[in-house]
Amino acid sequence: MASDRHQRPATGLPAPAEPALPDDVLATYPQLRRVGAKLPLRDYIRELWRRREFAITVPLGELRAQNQDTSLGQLWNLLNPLFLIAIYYFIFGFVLGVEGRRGVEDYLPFLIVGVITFNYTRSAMQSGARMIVKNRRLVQSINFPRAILPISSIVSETISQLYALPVMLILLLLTNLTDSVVIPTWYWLLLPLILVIQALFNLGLAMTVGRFAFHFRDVQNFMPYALRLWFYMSGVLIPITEELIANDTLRFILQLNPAWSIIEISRDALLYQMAVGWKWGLAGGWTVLLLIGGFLYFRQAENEYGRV
Amino acid sequence: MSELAIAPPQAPEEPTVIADRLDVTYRIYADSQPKLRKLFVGEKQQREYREVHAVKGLSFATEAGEAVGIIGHNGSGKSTLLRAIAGLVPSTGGQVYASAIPVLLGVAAALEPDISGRRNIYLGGTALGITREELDERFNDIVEFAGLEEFIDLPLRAFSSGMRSRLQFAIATARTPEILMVDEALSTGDGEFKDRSDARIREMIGEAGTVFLVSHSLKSITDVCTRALWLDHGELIADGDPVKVADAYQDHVDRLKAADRAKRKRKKQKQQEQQGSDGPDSAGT
Repeated sequence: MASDRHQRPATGLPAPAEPALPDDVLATYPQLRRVGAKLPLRDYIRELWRRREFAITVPLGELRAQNQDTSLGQLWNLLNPLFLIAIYYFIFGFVLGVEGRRGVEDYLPFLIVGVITFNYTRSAMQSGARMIVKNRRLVQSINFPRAILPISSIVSETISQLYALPVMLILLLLTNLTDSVVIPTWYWLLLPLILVIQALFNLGLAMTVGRFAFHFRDVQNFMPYALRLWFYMSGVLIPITEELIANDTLRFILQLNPAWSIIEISRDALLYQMAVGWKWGLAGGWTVLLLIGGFLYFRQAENEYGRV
Repeated sequence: MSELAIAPPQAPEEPTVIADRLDVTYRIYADSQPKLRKLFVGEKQQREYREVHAVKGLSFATEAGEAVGIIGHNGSGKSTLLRAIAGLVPSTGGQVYASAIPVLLGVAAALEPDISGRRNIYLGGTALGITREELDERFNDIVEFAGLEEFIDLPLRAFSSGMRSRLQFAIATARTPEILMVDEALSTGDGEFKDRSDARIREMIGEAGTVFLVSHSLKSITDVCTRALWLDHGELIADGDPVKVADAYQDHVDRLKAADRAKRKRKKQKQQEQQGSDGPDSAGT
């Protein structure tokens, strides 16, 4: 739509004088910087570090605000996965009879670790997709390195996961009341390391999805389906083993899935007292790849996020 | 009223902000229309957004110690201009140069209504890149300046809009920014606070800062500013002494109002005439 021509109002004042600018403004005035120029990587990271308080304060404030309204508040974050575990256990373990097959002798603990671990990545991806649109006003009012937004949404999800993990461990121990056997071992100490890996993985994911959802708003509508598909493909409900997935190529592709490798190293450490090198390598490799790639991809559009 | 000649171009001496043919166009989507549809439907779909050419090739330079008021009708591009200078909205043409990162008085966006004023000072301050230690140091000044000593531990939603804008102003100017941009915020405070914020702005100008002030109140512009820009549909109409520019703008507004009144009067007359001739007309056809 061509904007209609407007008549310049008569002022009776001299027309505004255009400043006489030299050809190379920056060379003539060394104190000036081009607004919107990309900060060098080092400065960008330093600016991020200077605002670390902000990245932590925002999610804390949000969580606190959430708590104030409902009596069960934060508890719902724990109740949701519990209900999911109960439903999946009933359908897959009981009705379809996955329990007892090779690789899933103890289905309930298997399911608990899978659901709680995947849930962290799921909610990180969801909040990553929302963050730019949700914080539009903030982006249009304050200059800060935009990567603060995905970082703070991951901080927020990580705090929720810090509540969920002890509950998960208690649940695992409680399964001993059934005929499952879960023994706490030194391998449980790998859990914090796994959390760090998953947090960084989620951050890379949030930055990637964040920019993508900024360009294509409808990503948010696809998200539930994409997440559901990913959930089923990540071996949360059934183990990705030769017994259940006979096709070698398909199994190989499913095992390349980063969510699967993170869930696997958690199960190995918590349930099977082992740490398998190639699974850790896979999880670590994906994390490094996504974190660096996601950061570069997100930063490339740094100055665009304020677009109305 | 006689000099209509274009003033000779001058090279800035010690510029703090230079806008060089700055152009901002943005799109307003009619709806949150799915853009992915393009992939399926192809290019020949109908347009679902409107392009707004908000700032049209503006050039100006400001020097240290200037307070620049920006006036113009609603939608003339004042706020977009501020946001583009601050690098918050991407420009679509031209360049902006600045001697420091401009701080837009917009901390409101960072504040959380459900947490206390005290914690909001830290929240807004850290968003602006002020460290916690620095905020500890200036905390009392901020509270005192905002005049919120008794209320600082209440949640922000309990504050009146005036209290909120006072807190905002206090946070944004806690660490004197080199370039400050104020968008209509001063009008919300009461008279006493307005004096204090005006004094603060003058102090900044004295410290060789640069202040941009967008306001519909011509009085606040002529009170504080040393220079005024008049924007009309994204174009720079006048640039100069705030009193002269404000007077010219006021004249323009008065003329528009008079023209509008005349138009409405004519319309009314026409309607009356039509009503008078209604009977014979319908009989004729």
